[in-house]
Amino acid sequence: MKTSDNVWVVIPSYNEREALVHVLATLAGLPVSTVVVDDGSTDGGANLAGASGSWIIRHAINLGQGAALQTGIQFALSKGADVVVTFDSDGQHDAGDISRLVAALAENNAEFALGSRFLGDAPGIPFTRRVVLQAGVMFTRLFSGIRVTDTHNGIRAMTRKGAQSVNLTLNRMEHASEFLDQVVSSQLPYVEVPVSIRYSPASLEKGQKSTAAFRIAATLMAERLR
Amino acid sequence: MTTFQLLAIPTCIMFALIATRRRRNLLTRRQSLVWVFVWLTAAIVVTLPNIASAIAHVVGIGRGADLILYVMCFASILFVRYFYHKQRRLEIALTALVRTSAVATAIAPARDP
Repeated sequence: MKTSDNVWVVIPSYNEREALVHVLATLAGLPVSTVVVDDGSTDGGANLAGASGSWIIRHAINLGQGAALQTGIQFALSKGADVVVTFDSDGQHDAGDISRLVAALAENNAEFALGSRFLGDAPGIPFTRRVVLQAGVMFTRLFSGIRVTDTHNGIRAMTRKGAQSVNLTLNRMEHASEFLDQVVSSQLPYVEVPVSIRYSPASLEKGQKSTAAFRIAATLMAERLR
Repeated sequence: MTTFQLLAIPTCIMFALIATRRRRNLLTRRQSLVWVFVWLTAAIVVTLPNIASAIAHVVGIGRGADLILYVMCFASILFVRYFYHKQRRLEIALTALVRTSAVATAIAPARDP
């Protein structure tokens, strides 16, 4: 990453007080601006973000990760971002992947760089989680027409042009599929980049249950059939 | 008269009368007329079930009950679509409201980059 790039990292957060502090610490040394979008947290975690040099935006009520991401993306664009990176607050993502994603945009003339744990590294991924994610890949290939190896990865980079073509309206976890739909409909070039996902007992406990995939699929079908 | 008719006919008439209370139920004049028509039709069909069979035969359906079933399926799909769209519009509006307020009160970092 060149320091001349105006790179913004958008971090949606909901009750991730402990992990968020660590995440912001790992980002502190990078030549990026960060914005934490606190999605109605009740654990006071976002109060700690300001001291680490991050912008803080607070949703008055919990809307969902998709809504938080869209808020952050719009905010970053309003601040003149050249590149917008989305990054989870639960500590699963590696800050070192940010520079690889940003570099991939320029190297491949892409507007979107999508992180893939299945091209990279995902030690400790539960078997059921792997099965559900692979089913998600097949579902996405069938209904979105996009061939990617990881459809539910929160780390991605997009140029300003790419970010401007994104308008997430599905507020909850369905936003990941909606994002890919919009990548397809934008007809802008994209590239997949190997990234690392670290599964810890804490992140697995707080994360989405594998059974949530059925609810996500039902919501996506309802949206397509409306 | 069957037990079902003894229960259903007064119930339908009661709901038809409730539908005439426009102000209390926040109904427009058209909505009120539609619901009165629906409930009175239901009362008539329950009273004279052969009417449903006669109409069914006219449109090529074997039984009156089948005709009612098809109509109910179609109406249910329309209702579900209507309320889904309404709910999505509300969700999008609520999100926009929360987002606007959140961005307006964004807190800059301790050291502004």
